[in-house]
Parts: sequence; C-alpha cells; structure tokens
Amino acid sequence: MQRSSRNKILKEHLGELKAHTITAKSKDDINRVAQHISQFSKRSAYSFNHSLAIAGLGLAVLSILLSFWTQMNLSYDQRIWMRIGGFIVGVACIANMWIRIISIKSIGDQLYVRAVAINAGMERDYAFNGNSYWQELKTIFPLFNCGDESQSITKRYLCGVDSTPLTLFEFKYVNVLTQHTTDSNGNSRTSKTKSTHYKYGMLVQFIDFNYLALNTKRFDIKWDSASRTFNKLYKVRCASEIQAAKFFDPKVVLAFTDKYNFIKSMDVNAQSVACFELPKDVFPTQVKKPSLRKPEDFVKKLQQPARIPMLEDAKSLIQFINENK
Amino acid sequence: MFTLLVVVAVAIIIVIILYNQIVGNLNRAKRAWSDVITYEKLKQDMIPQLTELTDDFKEFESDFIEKVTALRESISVLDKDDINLKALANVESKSKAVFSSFKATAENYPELGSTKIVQDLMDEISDKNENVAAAITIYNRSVEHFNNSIEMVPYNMVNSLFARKRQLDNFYQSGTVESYDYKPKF
Repeated sequence: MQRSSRNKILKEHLGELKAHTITAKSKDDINRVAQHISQFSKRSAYSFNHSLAIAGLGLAVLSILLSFWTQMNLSYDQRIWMRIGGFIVGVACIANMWIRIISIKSIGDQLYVRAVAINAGMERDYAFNGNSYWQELKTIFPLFNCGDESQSITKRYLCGVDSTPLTLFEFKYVNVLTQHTTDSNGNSRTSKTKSTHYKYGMLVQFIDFNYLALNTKRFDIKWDSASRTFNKLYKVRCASEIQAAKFFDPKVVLAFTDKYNFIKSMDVNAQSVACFELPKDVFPTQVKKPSLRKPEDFVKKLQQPARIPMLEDAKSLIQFINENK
Repeated sequence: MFTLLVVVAVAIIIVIILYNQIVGNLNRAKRAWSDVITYEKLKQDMIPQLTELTDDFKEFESDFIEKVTALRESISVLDKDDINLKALANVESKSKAVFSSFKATAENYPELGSTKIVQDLMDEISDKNENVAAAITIYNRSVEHFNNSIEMVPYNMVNSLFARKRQLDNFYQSGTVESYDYKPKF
C-alpha cells in the first residue's frame, strides 16, 4: 500500500513538474517550482519504489533457471514456455524500471532547460508545424535544402537583442545511403543506411542589410579580403563587390576572424532576413544538466541556471552588425 | 628513364606551387598595405570639417590648424604601391597629435564637446582610427605569413633560387594597434 502510494505521489508530482516545463514564463515561476521541489524532497525521495519490478525480475530469472534444471519433471514444451514467459516478464520489469528512472531524468532536464532559456531571455515556441515550417524556410535559404527524408524544424526559441528579433532553430534531417551489392551468385541486394543529423542556427530580421552570404552559394559574385585567415574561414558571395567591400571593412574583417569565428555560415536575403548557421552550443538544450535525483543541488542550479556563452556571442554579433552595416 | 622523368616533372610542379604561394603571399601583404593606406587617406575627408571647426570655435588651441596641415601633408606622401613604414609612422604620430588635441579641447569645454557636429566628428574619428588599427593588424599578419613562407623549408630554397623575395617589416608604433579589442585566439 505504502509502495503504491509513494509511486503514485511521485508520479503526480512529476506530472505537475512537467506542466511547469511548458507553462513557466519567468524567473519567479522557476523559483516557485524550485520551492515546490525543495518541499517535496523533504517528504519523499526522487526515486520510484521498484520492489514489485525487482520481485518480478527475480521470479523471471528463477523461472528461466528452473527451465534448465534437468531434475525438474517438466516436458519440453513446458520448459520452452517457462523460458518465454520468464524472458517476457524479465524484460517488462527492466523496461518498467528504466522508464521510471528516465522519466525523472527527462522532466528534470526539461525543467532545467526551461530555466536556462528563461535566464537567457528566450521563449520556447510550440506554435508551429515543424515540417511545413521547414518547407517554407527551404524556399528562402539553401541551408535547409539538405537531407533525404524526415526534414523538420524540431525546436524553436524566440528572443531578441535591442530591437532586433531573432529565432533560434534546431533543424533535423536524415540522410539515406543506398548501397547495391552483388554476391558471387549474381544476386543483387540493396541496403539502406540512415543517419540523422542536426543543424542549429538563428534567423534574424535586420533593417537595410542584405545581399550578402558567407559559406553559402547564394550569389554569383565572389569577394575576398586582404586577411588570409578570414579568406580561409569564409567564402564571401554578394550581389555586388562594392556592397561586400563596404560592409567588410578591416574592423569587421578582424572581428569576424577573431571574435565571431564561430559562424558556420551566414545568408542574408533581399528582405534583410539573415540565416546564420551556428554551433549546437547556442541551444539551451545543450547545457550540462543537473540530476533531479539530487534535489538540493538541482534546486540550487535551477535558481541560478548556467549561461549560454554562445548565445551571448551570437547576440553580440547582431549588435555588431547593426552598428557596422 | 620514365621514372626519372616523372620525378623531374613532380619536382617542377612542386617548385611552381611553392613559387606561386610565395608570390601570392607577397601580393596579399601588398593588398593589406594598400588597405592601410586607403583607410589612412580616408582621414583626409575629415580635414575640411576640422578646419571649419577651428574657424567657428575659438576654444581650439592656436597650433591646432598647424597640426591639421601637418597631418594632411603626411597623408599625401603615402603611396599604395610603396611599402613605406616610416611614412606610415609619421602619419600615425601626426594623426595622434591632431586627435588628442581635438579630444582634449572637447573635454575641456563641455559646451563644445556636447555639440552635435563635435560628437559626430569624434565618432567618425574613432571609427576611422579603429579601421586603420584593424588594417594594420591584418597587414602585420600578412607580413608574418609572407616572411614565414620565404624562410621555412622548402620555401626558402625556392625563394633563394627563383623568387628572390626579401623579408617585409612589421609595423609597430606605441598606441596604434595594442589597444585594439580583438586578440588572435591561439
């Protein structure tokens, strides 16, 4: 009775926390959740009671072992059924324990990511369709024109710097490699290997800054600077050389070489919408997360979440472009 | 015989590649120098405004106009095709004298410093100086790369036999580039 009530209480509590991972909007909300966790941890631990699953696993193992004991007076069919039954029960018990452990970790991680995002002034946006959003972006930026299947924008965060709005995105795509092999008998076989990839970046709406691309084949005209390091890092393409030369003055070239060398690509279209491909560290989901199973440490880190240095650098890049465009 | 021909052909190709790299590095250093001169010469655009200011405001020291004239003369000596570090150093020191005097006057007379024309001019001066400092930094890096390319093995052999390029000097002057924000990441 006590076991089931402890599991029930923890399950209900995790449900509440899960709701907070979506509804929390401010630091005050996060502090309230932290207090809630702190109070709960005084009454109960953040671990499920697995005694029933452990007992089931023990019985499953016993059943399998007994099926191999020759002195037991059992038919062949009975032995097979004991093994099958033992295997199914054992796997179910292990899966049950694993799902419960993972559910605690997953909710803790989501909550912490939410706190990191709020601390960085970002808001998770759920109001979009990943596939249709990708279709829309694909027509605007070549960056999204890759992968063979399952292309989708999986996560989106909204934030801004000064008065410039920016959208962070996580783009998922799957590459399919098809291989045809023929054996010595002349039989041909086709095998497919799928690999999932992610790209991270940001979309920024600038004003009067356009027709420029770094490491993206958007425009026909190429431009290079006097800096060898810059030329090695970036292949500049533009609508007119004078436009590139005006923006990339020595100050900007040096800043892009030394301070903003994390940019993988930049693509600015005619409407001054820029798409930057950035390292994955720009996303709040990539920070190191504390464990909810250690509530004291978790609460402390939830109240003072980690910063996202890459996001701060990206914001500083936008300010820099606004000042020098 | 065939093997010998292949070896000779490969050696010739390698020499050509190394030779072209040396020439390319020298040309990049020359282009970086040309950028420095371009941005130094852009300072000339501000000279009429500075002269006008001295006419309009009596707060400027009497020798300010002389400093501005000296700056204009030193800039006119600069040549994009001739890497002359002494001439550049002369411009930089004259430029520093003018802008320090300008800044000091603006600070000593707050009513003058707060006028829009002076504020705009100070922003422009700061932007031009930052660009010159950045251009000099790029030039120094290009020179270092070029010097490495004529001193390192096997480039030094190709240089001494065929290219015969001489080392270039870096530009260094106190207060010119060391205050620059961006430091290379090693």
